[in-house]
Amino acid sequence: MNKFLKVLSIMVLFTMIFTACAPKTKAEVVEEPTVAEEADTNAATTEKPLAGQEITFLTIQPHTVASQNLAQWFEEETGCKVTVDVVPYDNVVEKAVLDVTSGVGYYDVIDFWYPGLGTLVENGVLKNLDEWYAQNEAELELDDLIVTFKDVFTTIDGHKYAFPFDGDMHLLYYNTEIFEKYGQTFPTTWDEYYDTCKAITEAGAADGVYGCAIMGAKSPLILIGTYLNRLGSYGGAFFDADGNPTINSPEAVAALEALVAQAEYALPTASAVAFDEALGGWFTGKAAMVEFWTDLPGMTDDPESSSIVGKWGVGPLPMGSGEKAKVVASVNAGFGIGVSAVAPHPNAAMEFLKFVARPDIAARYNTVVGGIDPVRYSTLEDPAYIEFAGEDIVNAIKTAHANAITWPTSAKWFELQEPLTDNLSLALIGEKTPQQALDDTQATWLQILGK
Amino acid sequence: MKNKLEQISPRIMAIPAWVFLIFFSIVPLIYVVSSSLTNSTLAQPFKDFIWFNNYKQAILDENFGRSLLNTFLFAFVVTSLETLLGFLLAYAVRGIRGLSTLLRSIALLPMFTPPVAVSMIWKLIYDPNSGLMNHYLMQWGITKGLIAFLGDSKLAFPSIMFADIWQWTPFCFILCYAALQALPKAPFEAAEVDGASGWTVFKRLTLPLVLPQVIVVFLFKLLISLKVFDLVYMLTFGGPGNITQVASFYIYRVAFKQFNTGYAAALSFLMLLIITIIATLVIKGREFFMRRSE
Amino acid sequence: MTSRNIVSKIIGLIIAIGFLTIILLPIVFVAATSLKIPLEIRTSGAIFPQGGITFENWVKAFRNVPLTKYLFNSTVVAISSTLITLLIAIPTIYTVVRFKTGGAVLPSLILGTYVMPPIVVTVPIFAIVKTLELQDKLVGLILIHSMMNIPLAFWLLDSYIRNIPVELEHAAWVDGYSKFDTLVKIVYPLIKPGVLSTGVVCLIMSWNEFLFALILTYSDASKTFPIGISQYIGEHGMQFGEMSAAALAGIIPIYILVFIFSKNLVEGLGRSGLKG
Repeated sequence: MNKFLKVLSIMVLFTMIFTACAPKTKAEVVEEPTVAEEADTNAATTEKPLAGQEITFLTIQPHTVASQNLAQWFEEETGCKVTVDVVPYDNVVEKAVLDVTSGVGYYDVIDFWYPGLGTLVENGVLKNLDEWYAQNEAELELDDLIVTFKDVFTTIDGHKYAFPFDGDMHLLYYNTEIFEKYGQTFPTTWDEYYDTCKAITEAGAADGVYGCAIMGAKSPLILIGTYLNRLGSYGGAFFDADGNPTINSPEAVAALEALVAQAEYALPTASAVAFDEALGGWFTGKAAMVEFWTDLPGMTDDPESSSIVGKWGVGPLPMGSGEKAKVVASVNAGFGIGVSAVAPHPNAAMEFLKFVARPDIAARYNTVVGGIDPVRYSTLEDPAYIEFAGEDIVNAIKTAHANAITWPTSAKWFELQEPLTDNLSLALIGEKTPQQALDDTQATWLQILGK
Repeated sequence: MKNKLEQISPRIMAIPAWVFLIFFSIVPLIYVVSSSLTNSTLAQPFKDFIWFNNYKQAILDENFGRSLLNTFLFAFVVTSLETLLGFLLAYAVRGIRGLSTLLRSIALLPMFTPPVAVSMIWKLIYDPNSGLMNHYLMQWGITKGLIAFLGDSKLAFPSIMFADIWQWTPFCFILCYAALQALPKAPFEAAEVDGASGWTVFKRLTLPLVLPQVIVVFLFKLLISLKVFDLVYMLTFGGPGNITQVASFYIYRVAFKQFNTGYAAALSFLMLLIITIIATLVIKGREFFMRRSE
Repeated sequence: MTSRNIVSKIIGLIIAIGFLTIILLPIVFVAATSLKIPLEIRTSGAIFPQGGITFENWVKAFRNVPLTKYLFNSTVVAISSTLITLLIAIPTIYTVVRFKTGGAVLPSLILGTYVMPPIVVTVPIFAIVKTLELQDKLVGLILIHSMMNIPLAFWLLDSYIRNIPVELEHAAWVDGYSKFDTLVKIVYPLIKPGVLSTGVVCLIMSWNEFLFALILTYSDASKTFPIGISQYIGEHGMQFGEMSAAALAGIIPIYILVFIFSKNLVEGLGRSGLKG
């Protein structure tokens, strides 16, 4: 047993070393001295309303920094401590459902991916906020909310369950240096996009330069987002006006055919490229074009992570072809924020929600690197935000909102998106033809919906 | 009184084990079987009794069939290669005493590396931008252009298998080495006196003597491989398409991504049934070869 | 020594070196990656750092996620569950082997549990843990890991107990030892090497376990190391440097353990494959 003692002591030693090594601070918080000082003076004069209370905030990894800032600001203002719990972006709905159904009831406030709204409500995860909306109508300045997100992110069957938090949309970014080198111009249709991508890849692949990075990894958020960029612009939709699936319409098939054709010339291999791989290709100048969210510029111009600082441009997503073709901006990703139905500290949680919803706070958290895009018109006009994001992007966002298309948020969507993801992925790797993949999806959807 | 206690003490010793088995094995199984007959979701267990509808759906479910096939393919291929490589390695280094001791200590490392970390290591190695594979394949001029090992429909499964082979071949090596060391010395000395060639000794003596135990190693690892989950979860998430989707992973998706626990229970039960049949054969086989080796 | 022997030794040596390289290469690569500058990781897959060495990744890994807490949780769970496993498994195996307790049912149930893919019972175990109100608590995970390891301990210890000459125990009984005393005073000392290697294997299996920990832990209060690193993505997407550092932080204690016990482990594993 001597050896066991030895091991135990080594393990204890290790734990101690790790504890000693680890700096006690959480991630750095962007300093904003003037505001912090103000908060300090407040603290000195008045008793903070929620002093001594604590809440837990479930958030996603790309929102880590913004969430930690919110937590700090809220604590400064109210004295309530906010613990930020971070999970991967595609796990957040699952985590929230497990939290409530398992009876753990750990989270107070939940930052969720909006297509999961129906699932969350169906499983009783989110608290009904109708009353809260009615009580705080004036302060919330609801008319200021960008119409694209206002209801879609928050409402199921006429009831409110959340508030818009992060208004993510896709735009098309391009690397100006690569475009110049290979004599290309910004594509306005998917056909042009294909030609551009093909031309660059054919000339540059030997040097490791590809015309485009296409996010085709097998995760609903990633792959369906990429597909929706095309589906919408070819004039297709997931469902018709009566809620019947139309996923194998001629437009939908044309959109998938375009995607499959483009993928052949994309950064290898579209079917394994997610968020991170696309970023890797983009930052290192290996990919000339990428469809990405509106927070990309901040990261691209950070010399610590990117070698293409200042060498980029942006425009709307290309248009499809055919008679129904149009310009779209698909709301891929996008997050709402709500209060857990079993929140251990509901009062403080509601206060936090109100805090996040405040227009002045929205303007503040949008100017922190951390993947949050505006949900209010006023933020788009805010000089601080315009300076932070750059005028090009702000203009592109404004244009895009006129053409925004969103994902379904029904309770069945989480069950529906899995077969669609599988089939899109199968089409992408050539195991199924686009027609076949979408026919199969349509059949599965009809079965799931009982139609 | 004391005598009575003494008499039943063997049974008392087994009580904790029974309690554990009841709570974590028997009750869960009853739970699985009963919820497989309902339309349960994670939030509403045992919702709507629907008889065998879940099973009907499962039998027609192409994804499930494919994922079972993938599981068997994976288990069979990796286990065969690992056992074969492990045995050949053990045979090759059997004569070098000092070295093989060091080798066996180091061989313990991959198998005890957390599978999550193994996946991370291989994800990094296969990565098109930062990966070791692409870097050296390109530098040495073997390939042109980047290869996404985990995204290619032909390479994804072999890439996962390769990671598993890296992790488990050393395990098979250690077991095979032990088996070789345990062989009786006398027949080999006799063969040397007779001047038999190395190949003949291997074919006539070593192989027949050691084969039953190598098969035992194979069967043991086969059972481990059938449970594969972590590698797939971390490396490909079942993709591209459903090419690397194994049964454990598919059930996980149905239960914890679609929250359809009733259907997941039916799938679980079917999988368990199939694996039990295989395991019974394996255990019978193991006993058979065990007897032959004694 | 014949020339044939020398040739086979040289071949063996070459193969051994190749084998070692393949085992160690990925580990070395990850160690090197954890010391590279982040931008270099994005662009080059060369084994060794080209642009200098930095400890930034290590600092960031410990700062961005509560890695210390995860490692602490894993340590608590691994040690406690191993002790429980051994406490339950040793008497059980002894009584099953020596007294045929439970007939054919108990051993086959235990082995059946071993064969069962964990995913099959995750939903019910989720429900049971919920009923016992042990969700998101280390105790819950400790119990599950103990259960998971009992069949493994059974498999590994079986041959050690079988190899004890039954006469020794008979002699003890004649001397007035109870069956339990015999187990503690006579049998246990004889199987100690086996218990040691079994304990180490259980410890590591618990440290490495992923699926149950994934489903039963929610907050940092109970997340174990594998869950911590599986969810490790930096603020700006995947950061291989930080992930490598985080992974190594959890691997190194295991490797030290393996090196201390390598003799016992090699022996214990070798026996498990050969006998009973």
